[in-house]
Amino acid sequence: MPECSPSPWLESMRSPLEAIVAVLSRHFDYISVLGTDDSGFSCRAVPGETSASEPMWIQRGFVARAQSKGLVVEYSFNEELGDVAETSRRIGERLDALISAQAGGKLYPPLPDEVAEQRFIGRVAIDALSADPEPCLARLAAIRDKLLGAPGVVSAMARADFVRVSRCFISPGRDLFQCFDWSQAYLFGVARRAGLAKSSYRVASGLLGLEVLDLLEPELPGLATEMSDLLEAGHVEPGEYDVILCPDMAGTLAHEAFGHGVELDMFAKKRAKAAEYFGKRVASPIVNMYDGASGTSHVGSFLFDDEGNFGTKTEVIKDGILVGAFSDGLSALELGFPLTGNGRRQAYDHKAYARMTNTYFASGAASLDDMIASTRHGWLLDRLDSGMEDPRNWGIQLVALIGKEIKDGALTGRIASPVFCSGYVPDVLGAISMISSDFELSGSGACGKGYKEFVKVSSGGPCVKTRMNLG
Amino acid sequence: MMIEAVIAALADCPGVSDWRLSELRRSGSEYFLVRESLDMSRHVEAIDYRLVVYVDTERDGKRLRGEAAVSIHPTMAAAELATVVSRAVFAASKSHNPWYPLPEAVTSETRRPSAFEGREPAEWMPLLRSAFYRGQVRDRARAEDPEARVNSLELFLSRRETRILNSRGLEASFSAWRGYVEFTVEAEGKEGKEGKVELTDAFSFSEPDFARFELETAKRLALVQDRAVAAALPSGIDLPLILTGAAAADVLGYWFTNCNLARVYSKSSPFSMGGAVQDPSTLAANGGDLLTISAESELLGHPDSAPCDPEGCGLSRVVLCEQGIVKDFVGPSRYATWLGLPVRGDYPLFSVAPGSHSESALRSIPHLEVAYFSDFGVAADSGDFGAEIRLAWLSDGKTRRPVRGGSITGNLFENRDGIRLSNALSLSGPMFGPSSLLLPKVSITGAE
Repeated sequence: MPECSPSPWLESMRSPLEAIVAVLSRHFDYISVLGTDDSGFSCRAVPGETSASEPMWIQRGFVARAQSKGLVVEYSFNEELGDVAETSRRIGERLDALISAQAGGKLYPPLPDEVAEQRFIGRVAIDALSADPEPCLARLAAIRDKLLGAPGVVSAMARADFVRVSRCFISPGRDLFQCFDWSQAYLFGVARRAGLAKSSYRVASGLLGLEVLDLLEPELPGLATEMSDLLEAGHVEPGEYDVILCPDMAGTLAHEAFGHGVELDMFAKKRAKAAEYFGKRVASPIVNMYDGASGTSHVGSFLFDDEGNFGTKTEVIKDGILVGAFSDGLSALELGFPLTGNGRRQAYDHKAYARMTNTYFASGAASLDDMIASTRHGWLLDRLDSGMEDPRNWGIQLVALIGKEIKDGALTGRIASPVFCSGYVPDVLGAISMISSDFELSGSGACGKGYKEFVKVSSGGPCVKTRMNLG
Repeated sequence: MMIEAVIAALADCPGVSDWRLSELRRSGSEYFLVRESLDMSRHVEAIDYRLVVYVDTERDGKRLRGEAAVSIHPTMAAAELATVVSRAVFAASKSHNPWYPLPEAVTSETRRPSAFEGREPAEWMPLLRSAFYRGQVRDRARAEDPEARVNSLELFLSRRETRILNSRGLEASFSAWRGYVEFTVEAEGKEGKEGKVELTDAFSFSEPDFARFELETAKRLALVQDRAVAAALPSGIDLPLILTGAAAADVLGYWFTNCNLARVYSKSSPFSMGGAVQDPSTLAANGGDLLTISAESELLGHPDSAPCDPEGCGLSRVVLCEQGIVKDFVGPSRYATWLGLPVRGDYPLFSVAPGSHSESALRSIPHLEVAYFSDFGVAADSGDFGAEIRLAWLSDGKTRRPVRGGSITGNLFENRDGIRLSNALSLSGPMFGPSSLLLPKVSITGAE
């Protein structure tokens, strides 16, 4: 597979950035600059219209981080660097002003700056960014039209996003560069009959180029059938049930429960209940859970994070015991935890937080058929709609667009939509009784922190069987 | 200077039929506070450009139009700019949609400048910080209330100048201040599973309304005190649901969202011009209120207020739905053209006329009132709604007690003929409308 082509502009900025960092390093106890140039394009086909635009992730700019007498501040900008002396003066003045205004603020130990020089260039089968958009638009329009022809479907939309990430991180000790592509493709449908309307979707994503469309197109027949079935869907009678979560639902359980729950900056704010549970049981003994930019290859993978720390793989839960957390640089420093390379920003003009990358349960030994056969009365839940975390109080919310009823070990054919799932995290994880041998990651959504700060992540793993409150 | 460079690159690129260019200059300060301590401060200076190019073609005697949108960065040199413009034109030439015109030049209304104007964002930050924390030093309302405090607070303030130009001579510009605060408040909970409890939410603002900021903190501290003493929501409850604030705006936003031309054109919306979105006879029998909803260009204190939309269309109030009947649609101009409707512009804000119920009358029957959800959502396609409950009050119509956990689900199609609106109005998210609403048909799952 051919290598991705890094941003020539960002490559050309490395030398001036090194010179600026050298000047500023004489003034600050710590200085670094992250440079970003993420490019890309989107193709979209809705009823009666096709268009090309850009994904929300496009950005180009810099963020300088400085430390002086323990205070840490940041300045984000996207203008031309220009003359080294003048630019250094301008950045230095802005950082100095921030430090002055922050007097009396939190003092951090000296930020580390271990020497490292590395470069990573990813590979994809078909470079989307240099391709003619016409075939992509035509393929999306074709699956849109086929879905529109399905019974009950009144609206359909097909979309594909292609992003090339180019980042450099320069500090006195570090010279890092990475470039890789990721992509995602969606097919959405809306079915309506009388006043009843239902929607569903299929997605494909990964460190891929145009070949992502090859993964989406085969999903069309299943979605068309599902849209028709959804118009017959009813509701779940409220109550606690055995549930089998398909990989996208199970991965979001991992993400919301002990993904957000072990983001180390939440420990620093004393907002994470997980801080009291290290070395203690938080899940059934068959549960193992991981997060990491390395260790698996998906949209949350990278060489280094947005603070210049190398991506790693963190074992979060081992045999049901909480054993790990993942860190941004500042919270690791404050709490004495290892740097795991999870300091991520939505863009150069956003703060870095401890964020997830690829989050998943490890596979088990069961099959989905075994899990269904073992269920007396429960629901097989698929097509994630949304999830929400509660790291302090360990509530959890998952919403599935598709619930399939199971009775006496078999699917009854009854469908519910949507299905709201809630529970208390240790109860839900503690009740996990079977884990399938499948492994499937999905990275078509975005993860927020609070009400904002979106980053690209994947989540998934196997199917898991547990108990949750449904409504 | 970049604007001139982009226009020059467009002039040098063959095949461009029309173009639109927007510039956003932003200068902002950010505080990240943990307890009362300033953990980190940041400053952002950026200029963002967005270019949309239109390429016209003809097929079978029909005039067609394609468009492509790209970001232009201020660090792009002439050669790179020419490449980006050329690629955008190439991409636009690959779409062949029905032709539509660009909005013509408009006269922007004069807007009252924000009271933030006159100082830099960084100068306002200490004052904003003080205002939000003043809400923390108020006395506890009742001696038995648990102690509550701000756990962390993220505070953003930026000045934003927008300029929009197109190839048909349109030029619009306006400035706005955008403030945003994200709170986490905490209180000591009861023993057992809960321990210390918290609530998190956020709001946006565009004016230095310090008295309001102080009250917003105090209000959240009072709520987290209730959260700290809340019991688990019992099972087997069948009651109407009262929603306030952002959740009420989300519910009423279903009707606003489905009056957008993009959804109408794609047939995602169930609404049609002149169609009824409610059944008046059923509504009257249920004591419900007919909906009157308007698209708004400006809501005092909301940072998304703007004299024009991203295409440069001038905006003023448009009545979308009057007494339950669809009167108009808003949205991107091309959809208006394709549907043969007048171009009204695309609106982010809306208002809802007051209902017929006082706040106390709404609450005079047994009900469940939810103050905080994990993540309340309404599906625009189906009208399905629901979420896990973080804090609610269970009321017999006279007294109420705080509860937590469990979830609610429902569908707006099934509730539209029984929805009751308060006659008191407030600003919640993108809506100025009823402070409270009641939905009669919901499914409640207990936490016990």
